Amino acid sequence: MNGPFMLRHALDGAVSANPARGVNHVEILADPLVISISARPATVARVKERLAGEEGLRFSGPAEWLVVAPRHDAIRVKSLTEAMGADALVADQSGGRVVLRLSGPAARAILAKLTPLDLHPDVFGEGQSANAFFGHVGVNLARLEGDVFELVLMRSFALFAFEELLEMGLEFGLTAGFAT
Amino acid sequence: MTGSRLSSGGLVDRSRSLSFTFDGKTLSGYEGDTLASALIANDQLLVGRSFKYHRPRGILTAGSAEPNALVTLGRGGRTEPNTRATVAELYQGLEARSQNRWPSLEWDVGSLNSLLSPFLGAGFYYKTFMWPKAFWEKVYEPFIRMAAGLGRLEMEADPDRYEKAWAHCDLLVVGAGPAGLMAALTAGRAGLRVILADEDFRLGGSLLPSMASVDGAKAADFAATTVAELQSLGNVTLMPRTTVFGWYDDMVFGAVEKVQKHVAVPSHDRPVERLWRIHAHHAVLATGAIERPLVFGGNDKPGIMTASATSTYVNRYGVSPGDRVAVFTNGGTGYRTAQDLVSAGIQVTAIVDTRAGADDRVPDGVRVVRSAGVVDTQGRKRLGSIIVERAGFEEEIACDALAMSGGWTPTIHLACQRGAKPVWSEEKQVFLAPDSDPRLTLAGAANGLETLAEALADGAAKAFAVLAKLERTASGTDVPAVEEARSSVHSPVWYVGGARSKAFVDYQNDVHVKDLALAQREAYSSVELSKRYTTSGMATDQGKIANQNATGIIAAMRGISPGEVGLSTYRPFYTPVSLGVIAGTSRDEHGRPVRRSPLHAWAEKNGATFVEAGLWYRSSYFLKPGEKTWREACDREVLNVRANAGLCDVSTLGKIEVKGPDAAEFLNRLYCNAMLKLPVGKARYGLMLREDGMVHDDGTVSRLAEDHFFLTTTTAMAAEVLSHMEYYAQTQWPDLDVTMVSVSDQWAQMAIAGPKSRAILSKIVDADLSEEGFPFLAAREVMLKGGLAARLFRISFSGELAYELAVPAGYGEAVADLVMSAGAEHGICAYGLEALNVLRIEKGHVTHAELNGTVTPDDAGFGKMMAMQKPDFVGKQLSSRFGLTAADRLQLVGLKPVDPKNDIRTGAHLLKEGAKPSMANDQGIVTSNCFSPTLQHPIALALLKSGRERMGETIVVFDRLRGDEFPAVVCSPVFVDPENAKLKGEPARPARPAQKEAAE
Amino acid sequence: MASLISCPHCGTRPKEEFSIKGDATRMRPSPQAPAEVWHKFVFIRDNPKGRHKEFWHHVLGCRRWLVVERDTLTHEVYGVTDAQQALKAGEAVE
Repeated sequence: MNGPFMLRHALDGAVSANPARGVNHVEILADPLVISISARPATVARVKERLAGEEGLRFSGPAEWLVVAPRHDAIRVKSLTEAMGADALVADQSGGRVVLRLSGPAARAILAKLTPLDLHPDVFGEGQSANAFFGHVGVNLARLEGDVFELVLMRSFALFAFEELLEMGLEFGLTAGFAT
Repeated sequence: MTGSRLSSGGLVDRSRSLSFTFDGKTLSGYEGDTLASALIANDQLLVGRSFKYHRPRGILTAGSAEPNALVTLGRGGRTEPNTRATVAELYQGLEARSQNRWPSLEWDVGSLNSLLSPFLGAGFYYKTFMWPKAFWEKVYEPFIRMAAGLGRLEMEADPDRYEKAWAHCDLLVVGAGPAGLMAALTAGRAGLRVILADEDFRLGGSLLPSMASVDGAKAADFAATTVAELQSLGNVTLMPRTTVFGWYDDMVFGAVEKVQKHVAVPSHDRPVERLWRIHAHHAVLATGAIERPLVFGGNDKPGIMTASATSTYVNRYGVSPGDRVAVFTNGGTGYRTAQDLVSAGIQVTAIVDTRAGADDRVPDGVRVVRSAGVVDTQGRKRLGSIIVERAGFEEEIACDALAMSGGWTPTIHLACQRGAKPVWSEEKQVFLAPDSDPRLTLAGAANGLETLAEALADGAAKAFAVLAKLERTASGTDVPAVEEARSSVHSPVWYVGGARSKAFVDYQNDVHVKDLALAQREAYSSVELSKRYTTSGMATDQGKIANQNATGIIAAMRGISPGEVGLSTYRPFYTPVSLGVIAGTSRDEHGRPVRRSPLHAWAEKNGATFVEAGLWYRSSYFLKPGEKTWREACDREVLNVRANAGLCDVSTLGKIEVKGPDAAEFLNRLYCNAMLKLPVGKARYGLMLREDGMVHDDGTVSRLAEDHFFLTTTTAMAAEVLSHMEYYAQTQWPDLDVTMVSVSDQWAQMAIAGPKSRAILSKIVDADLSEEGFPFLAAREVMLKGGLAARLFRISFSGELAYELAVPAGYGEAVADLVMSAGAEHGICAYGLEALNVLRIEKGHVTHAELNGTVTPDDAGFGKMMAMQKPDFVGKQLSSRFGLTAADRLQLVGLKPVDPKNDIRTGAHLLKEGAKPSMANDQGIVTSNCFSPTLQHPIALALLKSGRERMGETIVVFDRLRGDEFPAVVCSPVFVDPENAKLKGEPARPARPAQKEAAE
Repeated sequence: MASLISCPHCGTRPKEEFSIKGDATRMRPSPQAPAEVWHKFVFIRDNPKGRHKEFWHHVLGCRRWLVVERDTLTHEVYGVTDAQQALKAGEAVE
């Protein structure tokens, strides 16, 4: 898609090429799709309605959402932008975000060291997402299913936050690697 | 005369022997021991020296209130001074050292202080060390610090890790004694999310040493069974070794978990301690009670401990503090301890009871001396006998240990930490917790209850109450039946009269009864003043042992009730908390987040030296082979940009998109200059003000579509500007139909500057970049050859023909590589922050060095940009106020030294020639400076009074700190290419003055 | 350790996620208002003990400006509303 241009991931070099995979694991998405959608005050209801059922929809605020998918998809950016028209500010943030998937029986215990969110399944169920404090930085955190969480981090902070995450996972043998 | 290990009994694992050292001597204990119980087993009852008088001190308690047995554990970076031996879990290889003694614990020179004690009473510092004043810091303070004090810190860094974590629950139960276990069990069975935390490594609290039977089982076995059930419940989290130290706003509790304090070499995979912030919807404090010592003459000798501590050592740890133990009590606890001792086969020489009569069962063959008191004790480093006074007659009773009980003080600390005062109970003669928050209740001994049966029932009842509030049904939890010897209540004795030697109230700070009396005589009678005057309750134990007795004694001295005297204020932390765990992971490079530009790796491979700029690591300069200093690199980069071209990473700029039908109106109100009619496809320099009329930030505004804008902010103010914009949109102009989002991290942005920049970009960008096709201030989406969408802006911070190219961050490095290779034939170089700064100073472009919060647009030379014809913009109204329009305001100027050898340095002040350096004569300050490689001499920007009227004036640059004082000439801040000819990359020709284009 | 604010959009969160701007009852005067009114708006603040309305910005959450009504002494929180939604609904913040 992008001709001769090589993609450089913010976490390139932060994990070994052939990482071990333990029961508690962080998967780094190599080229994910992250779109932010901000509705205008006058169009919140309309935009919300139009986004209902959108796959990979994440809550950021009462008038702001993310759409996250495992692979960057320029066509989807374009079609969402066109669908929203003047009603919302649609921005492709894929380059500016790092998406991680943390899974395993200790996922909650690891996250408890980084975020104040109460991640008990009765409180934060499957499909739920939120912006929150994460270590020293911000995150959009979603529960994809059971013990699988998705973390959307700002690219500039990603290496710092990733190192912090790995350190918090040390006692649980947390492993990490790029998704294959 | 020996402390020893009993042949059987206790909850220690006798099959697992552990060796440890105390003051270098190798000793042994068992798994399940504390350091204190192991020391007693080895007859090491002398453990430390007291704070002020260096008196020999032993072990007073078996818990966290311990004031005496403070030791230093570990070595090197793991050294931990002032650790209470009574809560230090024994492990193989533990190294402990006694404190506050020299040369040794046995022979301590400091104990001479005892001979000086008549001069060392309360307030002696203030009275003794008053003059001469010159001695305060040089003689007195070092002397006091040497003589007094506790353990010493090691300067070596702590090698271990610490963490913080959050926990959430419906019910937090603090304390896993009888009340806490029942509360947790009741709530746990009903399905609540329960956290049960206890400071001990074994859960059970007072059940562990109890000889009572619960539900037909030994109390300790009942505790174990209950803990096992709790462990099996998925909704209950057990947190042993966890001290809940504070109750904070909104039901947040602070706790420290000792994760690896009981191992010799902690695993690096886990922290040694973890700080928990527990958000609980409800809490039951089952924190128990602390047994008070009796205050009598000589009550601090090693071998004297509280009765419950004696029972705990005998029953839980299977050790005995002595062969012949005396008991001194004012209530039933002493009798129970006597029974425990007798049951373990230890001789009880006498029970001394302050009361005339009591119906407690006296163990067979034990003598009771009623209506009596201990007035003195014999023995130096170990108790040898007690002097008992009864009806005027004295008797010496030989003993090598004394178990004393002055009654029980409910542990209400947490409940009183948020300002509510404890409530005195006349009936129970104790302070109870105030009723300050319906979400927090106390249970068991902490609630003033005295028997095991009451505590168990109360714990269950408090959990039921929480369930009722949450409208949850409780499945049946019966309160277990208790069989226990009857025990009479204590009748308070705050002070045992007739003391013939010092009667200590606060052991750790060596405060005795006479000190409290002195404080009353000298009018420091309020409890808070008495505390500070005598230091009673100010030691690391924070008065857990002392405060209740001190209040009782002060009340007696003043002839009022203890309730009227009150207690000094309770504050977190309940017990000392290490600084390491408060810092958590925030140490070294993890002290604050690090931000990396998407071009970080590109800069690295081009040889960048990085500099921290806020949270960012930015490339500062790029050393070439042969270059030794930053100046060599910087000068080369500047000259190359002016002659050829350079690429600079400006990805750190804040980037914000704004959209909506009111977007233009919104920006028109935010910036002081006009934005409404900015054409689509064009960029404009913009200045944001604060409401007080000062410049807030500067940057560029580009119009992508009629209703869609892209702004840049300075690196430093990126987050602040977004908040500022959201504030105005949401709270001040809620009717404007506009939305915005930060895209700062999405774009890798590079400045490509220099006369060859057009030629270089033309090789890459699939668009007409001619002067007509892409004129100055053009701002458009473009395609790169090869098919990557990018944004291109024709803006210049360097004053050269320049562009800023933005591409999705992941492609930044690839595009920068491409620009560098395309530019190779044109002599492109990478340039860093240093060169960027020199380029902008040469052009007189401002940054936050100039826009320092006290500068108006007019001060910075932008007066004409302000669109005062606009009906409103942030800062408009106060811009025209008196003072902001004064003629003598500091205005931006340039400075050149008269002698080019003089470096004008930032921070220097400006003076008129011949004027004395004084505040009144201050004419301004230097804000930025550099050596201009273009002009080959130093230049500077400055803010100077009425500066624009003073071109050509010679002024004195004055900096006393660095010894500068030399003349400089005031000039225009634009040192290079004032006609802006170079902006078009063409030879100099007359040009209309362009607006300032872009800002960093 | 923490104070918790119940954000109407995000739920209960610690104060670390927020930044505080102060008095939420002061609204920007009209552009035509006399200098004295502007001076008071920009520079003069009460420092009340007790019940008070403040702007809190949920910086690490939904990025909404909230009006938190709380007791400045006890930190008892009486209510948290979204500033823009309240203002648009015509509720005076007073």
